[in-house]
Amino acid sequence: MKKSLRLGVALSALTLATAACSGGAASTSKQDADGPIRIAVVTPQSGPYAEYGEEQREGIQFAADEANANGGIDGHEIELEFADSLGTAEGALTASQRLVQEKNARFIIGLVSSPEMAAVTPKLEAWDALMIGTQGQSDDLTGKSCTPRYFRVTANDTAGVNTIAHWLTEEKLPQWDSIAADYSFGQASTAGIEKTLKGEDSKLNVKLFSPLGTTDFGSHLSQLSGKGGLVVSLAGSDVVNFLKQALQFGVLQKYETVLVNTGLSAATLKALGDERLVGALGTNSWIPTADNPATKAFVESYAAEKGHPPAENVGNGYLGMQAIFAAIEEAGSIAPADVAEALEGLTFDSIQGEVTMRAEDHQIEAPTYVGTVQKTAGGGLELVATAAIPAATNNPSPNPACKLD
Amino acid sequence: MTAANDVSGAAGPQDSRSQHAPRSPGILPDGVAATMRRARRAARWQALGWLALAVAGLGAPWVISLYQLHLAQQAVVLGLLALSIGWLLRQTGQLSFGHAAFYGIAGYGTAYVAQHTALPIGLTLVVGIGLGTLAALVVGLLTIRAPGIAFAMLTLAIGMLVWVAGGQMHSVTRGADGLNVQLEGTLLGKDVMLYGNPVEAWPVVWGVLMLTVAVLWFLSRCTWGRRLASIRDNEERMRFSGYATYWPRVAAFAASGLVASIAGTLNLVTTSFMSLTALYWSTSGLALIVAVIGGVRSVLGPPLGAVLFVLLQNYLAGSGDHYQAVIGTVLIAVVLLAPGGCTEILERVGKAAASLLRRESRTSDSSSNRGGSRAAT
Repeated sequence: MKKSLRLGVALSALTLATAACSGGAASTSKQDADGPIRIAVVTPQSGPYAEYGEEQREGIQFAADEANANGGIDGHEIELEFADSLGTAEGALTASQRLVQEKNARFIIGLVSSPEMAAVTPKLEAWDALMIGTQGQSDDLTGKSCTPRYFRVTANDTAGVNTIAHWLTEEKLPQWDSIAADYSFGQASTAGIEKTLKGEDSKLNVKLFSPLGTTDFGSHLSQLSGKGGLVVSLAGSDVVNFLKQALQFGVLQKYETVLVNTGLSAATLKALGDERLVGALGTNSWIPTADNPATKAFVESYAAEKGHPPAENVGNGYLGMQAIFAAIEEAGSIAPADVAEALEGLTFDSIQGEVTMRAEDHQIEAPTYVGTVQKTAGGGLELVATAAIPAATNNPSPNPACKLD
Repeated sequence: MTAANDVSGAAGPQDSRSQHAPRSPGILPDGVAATMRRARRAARWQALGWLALAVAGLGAPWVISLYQLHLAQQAVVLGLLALSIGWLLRQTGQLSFGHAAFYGIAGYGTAYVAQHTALPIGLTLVVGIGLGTLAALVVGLLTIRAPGIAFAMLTLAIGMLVWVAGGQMHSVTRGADGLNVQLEGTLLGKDVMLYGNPVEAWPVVWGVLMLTVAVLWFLSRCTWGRRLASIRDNEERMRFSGYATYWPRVAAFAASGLVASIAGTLNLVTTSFMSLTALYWSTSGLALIVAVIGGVRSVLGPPLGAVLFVLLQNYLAGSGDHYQAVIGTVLIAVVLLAPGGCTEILERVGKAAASLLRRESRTSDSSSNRGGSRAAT
């Protein structure tokens, strides 16, 4: 008994002794100001958005390789650290924290869905990290949950809705049906459609929501009316599954017009490869076929290197890296706090031409694009941009709910 | 770690009867008295092992890195949930697939109370944990009589109902978007937001785990715990002997739900974030897997399993695209080779080492004896 007590005390003493001479969590770590720029690439490698994650990684890698080939950014080499977000909020949080705290990679990029980002953004200041949103659209991220360390280089839900409004008003149909993902993206889209149509002498007829990751849309398809137009606010494998099944069931063909909010990416069209989709309408934050000299230059240099044009989210990932690089050059420092300060209100050259990171809510001011699906020379399908919606129209004012100080 | 080797002395009807028997050694047959002495000695060792572990664990923030501490914290939360399921499995033999519901209800409940009332933070947490426990009590009342597979399926079904309801109640859970929560107030002398930092939170997190382990260990050994074990082994006989068999099990289910609720609220306090995954059946499934890996026969088994799982997951996370398959394979191997989990492996290793030592001392004894006798002749 006495012996074991002594053993216990000795054990505890040993722990405390090792503690005193090692660098545990309770001691603070310092940052290397002259070292490489370490970027935490956290993307979903499984789940409905895995394909987008792959595209993000490609764009980010391309940007890093290009920068390193040109002697780095502001004299710093770019190092990428990769982790899998598992497509879940918890997974994103753990993966980001691992790269920030274990690998000292304080610039986080590559997360796809808004829920993933929403789990990470509240931690950014405590970690002394910075995050670039390159896809998730939730208004809250640059609205009531905005933080000084989160910046978004793609459209938010409001901008997305104002972009599909272009088609909704142009098509002049008496009624529309809607199917949307059951989270902020789909809900905001549906609410926006309803509001837009009210002013247009049209109406939203059937309003459906499906959980993220739905594979069988049978019950949804049977509820669709097949009259007027259909707006699809789904993304990732959801939109592929939905469109495939809607074509099989013959539901999609009944509609005069099919409009897809952000979902008609190159990967989706490739996965579907169905000619009946020719003529479908789409929108996106950035489209490789956009009529813009900066976009054309990027698409050419990417295609020359890889042999194929970049997908939408390759461009979005690349654009995120451009924002980090521009801010580091502006700040002359790689400390996340300095970079964040420099990025606020910064106007920089990007694949969309000159864009500005709005200081009030950290939402980029950039054009968004509308297009129609057309057949390419090679027999595939492509969303060809028909117009750009300027920043002044798609997202005119900062969200008043965002208070950065 | 010593306590891990056994708390299993608690199980079995024989034990429960010996508990009721008078303690005076004179009346008991020699064998029983010796067994009881041994059991008491073992319990003392376990208590000391627990104390050493509890004190040593408090030093963790000085030894491991911040990220590792964050992982440790995750392991504690997962370990608590696994403990709730594992303890129920051990005491009542019933396998619950619905504990994620209590875990999630406690988390969302705490968040809801924090956002919609002006209660002090301590009371907020208690109410949140209370909501989860209450849900467990209700589920227990309804399902505890169902035998075996039916019980597992019922709890699974109820868990999924709660998940679907959680997805529908946007105003409370914010659905698939997840819920960021800003807790406010002072908890145990610190601003509650500080618990978002693992270094600040660790003493509380570790303390909660060790306290829960101690309480569950004690509950397994007290009359009620032994009665539960007897009901598990032969319910009909217990009823025949005049013992109630319904209420003790309902209480056990509620107690186990309480532990799951504590895990849920602890998770909320340390991460300030809730998502629907918390309510999904896979959360229960993961906790069960972890409990099985660690071994449910000991109260330290499930937390040990959680630590191993989190370490494994983290180690493999950086090693390529298909690491989830690797984790699956490892799990299968562990379960096939040591059905009693890691505590069984530890036990076996301990026994092997002990017998090796004994054999060695015996051989040296006998050889010296032989030498002695030769000298005598």
